[in-house]
Amino acid sequence: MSAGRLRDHVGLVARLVLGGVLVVAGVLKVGNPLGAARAVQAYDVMPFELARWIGYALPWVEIVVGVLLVIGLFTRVSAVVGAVLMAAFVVGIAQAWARGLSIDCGCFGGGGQVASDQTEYGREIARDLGLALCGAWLVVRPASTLSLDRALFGAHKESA
Amino acid sequence: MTTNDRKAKARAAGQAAASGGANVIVVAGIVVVLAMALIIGGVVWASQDTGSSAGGASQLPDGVTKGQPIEPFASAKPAEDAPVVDVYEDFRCPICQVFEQSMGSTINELAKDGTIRLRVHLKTVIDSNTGGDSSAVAGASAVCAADQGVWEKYHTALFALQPAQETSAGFPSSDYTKAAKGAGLSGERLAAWQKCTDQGTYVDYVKSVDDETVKQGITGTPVIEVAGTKLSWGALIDQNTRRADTATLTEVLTSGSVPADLVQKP
Repeated sequence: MSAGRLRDHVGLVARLVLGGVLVVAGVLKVGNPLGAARAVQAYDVMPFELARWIGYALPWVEIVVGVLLVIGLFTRVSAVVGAVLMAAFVVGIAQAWARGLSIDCGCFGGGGQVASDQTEYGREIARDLGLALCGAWLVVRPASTLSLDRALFGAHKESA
Repeated sequence: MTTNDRKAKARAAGQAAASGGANVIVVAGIVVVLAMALIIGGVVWASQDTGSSAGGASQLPDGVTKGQPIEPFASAKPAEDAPVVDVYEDFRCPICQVFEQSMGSTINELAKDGTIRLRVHLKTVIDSNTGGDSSAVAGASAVCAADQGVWEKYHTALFALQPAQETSAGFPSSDYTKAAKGAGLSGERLAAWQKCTDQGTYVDYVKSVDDETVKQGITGTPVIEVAGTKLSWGALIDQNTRRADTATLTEVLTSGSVPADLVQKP
C-alpha cells in the first residue's frame, strides 16, 4: 500500500470517528431541548438566554456536521467546524474545572450539576482533544477513502 | 489540468469540469440550504417544545410575578418578621416525594398558622432529564388547585400518584383529575380546575420559575432554605424508618436560622 493510500485510510477513520461521535451526541440530545439548554447554561460562560438558544441549536449542528463527515462531503469545511466545536468544548470544560464548578459536560445528553466527586473533566477533555485531532488531520489532509467528495468531484478536487 | 479545464473554470466558477464530475457550487448550495433548513427548523421546534403551549390562556398566579414563587398559605397572613422558608420541588422528583411525605405536613402546619412564610418554587428538573413537560404541567395543575383553595390536599394527592418511572410522558393526565377529586373538588370547582389545567394556564409560569431558580443556582430538587440558608434536611430523616425529626425541623423553621451543623454543604 502506498503512503498516499494509507493516509487516505487514516482520513476515513478520522471521518468516521469524529463524524460518528458527533451524530451520536446530536441524536441523544435532540429530543430534549430543555435538557440541552440547561446543560449549556450550566457552563455559566454565556448570558442565560443566549446559552438556551445555543443549547437548542447545538444537537442539530452536530448531526449535520457529523453526517457530512461520515459521508465525506465537503470534508475540509466540515472538519473545520467539527474541530472548532471540539476546541470550544475543551475550553468550556476546562473553565468549569478551573472555576471549581461541578457539572457533567452534557456531551451525550444529561449535563448540569453533579456531585463534586462525580465530575470527569480530565476524561472529557482527553476525549474531545482526541476528536479535535481527528478534525485537524482532515483539515490538513481532507482526502480520504470512500468519500462523496471523491465520488462526486474526482480525486483532483477533493482537497478543495 | 488541460487548457480546456482552465477555460471552463474561468467561464463560470463551479461549472462542471470538462473531466466530468458534479458541480461543486451546486452541490454546496444544496447542502447549505438543507443544513440551514434542518438547523433553523430544529431550533424553532425546540423553542416551541419548551415554550408556550397555553397561548392566550397563559397566566400568572394572582399577585405573583414571572419566575417568582407562590405563597400557597398567604391567606394565613404571616407576620412581617415571620421566618421565610423557600421550598424548591418537582412533582416528578422521587426525593421530593420523600421530602413531602416526611416533612410536608410539619411545614404546612407552620405555614397555615402563619408562623412561617412558605414560598414554593415549582421546578421542572425531571423534564430536563427526560424531555417533555410533565413536571411543568403537574406544577401548573397544582397552581390551578391553589386557585380553588385546595393546594395542600392536591399537593399531597399528586405526590402520592408520582409515576415510578421517569419518562418523557410523565403523569398520565387522568392522574391530575384523580388528585383533584381526591382533594375534594367536585361540580363547578372541579370544572374550573379542569379547564385551568387543560388550558395549561400556568405552564409558562412554572417554566419561568425553573429558569429563574436555575439562574440563582438552584438546579436540583428538593431544596429547602430557611431565611436564605439551605437546610440539610436529609440529616433529619431516620434512614430506616424514613421519618423526620419533626421536633428539630420545627425548631429550625420557627427560629428562622439553620444551625451550622445542619447547613447543606455545596
